[in-house]
Amino acid sequence: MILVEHLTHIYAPGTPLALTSLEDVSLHIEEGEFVVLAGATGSGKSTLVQHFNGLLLPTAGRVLVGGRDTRDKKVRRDLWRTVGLLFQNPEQQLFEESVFAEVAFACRNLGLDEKTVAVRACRALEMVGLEPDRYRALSPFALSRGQQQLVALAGLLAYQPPVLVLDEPTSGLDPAAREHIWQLLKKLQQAGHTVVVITHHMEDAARFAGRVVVLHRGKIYRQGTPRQVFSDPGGLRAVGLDVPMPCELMYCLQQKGLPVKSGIITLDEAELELKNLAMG
Amino acid sequence: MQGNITLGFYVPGQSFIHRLDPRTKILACLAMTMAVLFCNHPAGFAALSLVTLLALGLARVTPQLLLGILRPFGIFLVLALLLQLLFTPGRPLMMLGPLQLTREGVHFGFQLLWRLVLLIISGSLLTLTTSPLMITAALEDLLKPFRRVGVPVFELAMMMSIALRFVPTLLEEAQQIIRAQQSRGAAFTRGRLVQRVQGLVTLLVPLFASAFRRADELATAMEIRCYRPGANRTRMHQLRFHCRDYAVLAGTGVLFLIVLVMRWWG
Repeated sequence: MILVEHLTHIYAPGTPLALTSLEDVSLHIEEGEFVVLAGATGSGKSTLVQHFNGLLLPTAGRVLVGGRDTRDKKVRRDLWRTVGLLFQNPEQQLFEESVFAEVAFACRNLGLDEKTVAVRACRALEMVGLEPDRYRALSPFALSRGQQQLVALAGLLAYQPPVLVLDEPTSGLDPAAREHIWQLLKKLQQAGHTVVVITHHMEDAARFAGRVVVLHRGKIYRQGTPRQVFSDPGGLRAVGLDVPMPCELMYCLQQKGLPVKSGIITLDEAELELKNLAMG
Repeated sequence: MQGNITLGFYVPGQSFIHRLDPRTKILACLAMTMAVLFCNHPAGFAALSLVTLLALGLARVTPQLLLGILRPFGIFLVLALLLQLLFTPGRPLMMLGPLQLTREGVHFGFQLLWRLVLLIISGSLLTLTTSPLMITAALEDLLKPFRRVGVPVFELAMMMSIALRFVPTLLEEAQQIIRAQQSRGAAFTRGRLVQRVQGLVTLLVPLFASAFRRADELATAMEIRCYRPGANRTRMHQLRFHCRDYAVLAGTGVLFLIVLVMRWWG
């Protein structure tokens, strides 16, 4: 679905302020995949995802979305319909006077008729856990930051782009809402969407991602299934990341010489393994 | 990233002019400006041009940079010259259709052009070699006497430095917002006029909302640090006059007086 080939991105090239944000990154995201992008602040995650919908163009290399090159202006113009990108700060996009109009904005840009728009907007609000009847007429500026984030997400879901790219969608949400959003994203993936999420919550990444891609200083440091990526807590910590708690626990036990399996990433698996250990 | 040099652009450096006290630079710039405006004698213009050239050299301004400074004013300069050339009455030199070129026109036209160029250069030299924060600090210091007559100097200086501080922040923010809205299909550069205007709304509302939020937060942050205007706070960089400052001030002062003398008695 998204093919990144030898992508290098330099901000302000040719000036004293030139900054290499991505260096020779190659990545292939298949249709229907659930990919988590992880990496410390400044590792290039946000720069990378902005190439997916043509907001940024490669300094070198190329990005193909559905086989079409993002450097083509005509392709780029309609790329937002295919790749829906949700930015980190919802306050940088809210502008309508009501939550409903805000959620409907992208739908209306698609050129759908008002009836369809209304149906989709209300369903999107329900999906993110905001009751349409209670919230639709409120001003988005009157909401808490977490709720604004949900409204922004609803705006994305309402226009149903096949690829969903979300930059830290759960920052600022309480644990219940966070869990709800991850479950929702999983459901959307099962319904056929391709999902790419940037997050610092490695526990969530371990539970939901099909593939984890770790960026470090503009390069791909490691990628694979959560089990593969989280098998080396030391290396991940060196690039500024956490590992899920169960994974960490098993790793420590192993270091103490106890016979536990490696590659354990969920609490349930850890519990089972500890029971086995206790039984001998 | 804009490649062109705009008015008020600051280039950090360590040249003689960079190291001058900002108050010296403001006063010298003021003296030069007045001198250029009062001057009407060729010898005076020659002297002013020489001093400006010297200052450019001391500030290590390259010819390309100088050209970059003047370029945005190009159309304005040419227009000013043409208007003077063609619409000054006097002894005719030649006819251009219904318009005539006069001896006085040529004289005043090029005098005006030269004046404007000198004004632009001396003004740019100030902003080119002095960081906005230093300019504010210097203004605050120079305007101190006006506090006696009720001018809120500290508040004005603080407002100016805050405004300057947030220009790049807001530009960055605007760029982010444009990207976020483009991701939702907002049109900024294409489509019919109605769509473009709507695109502008999607930018301006979040930008204003964010500016107000920032202002609010900044006010709170200043209050919890017990900010009080005019509390005679000390500065991290104390302004101090050195020998070079006195020399520059004396030099420009003398030049200014000479120009005045030439105008009224020359």
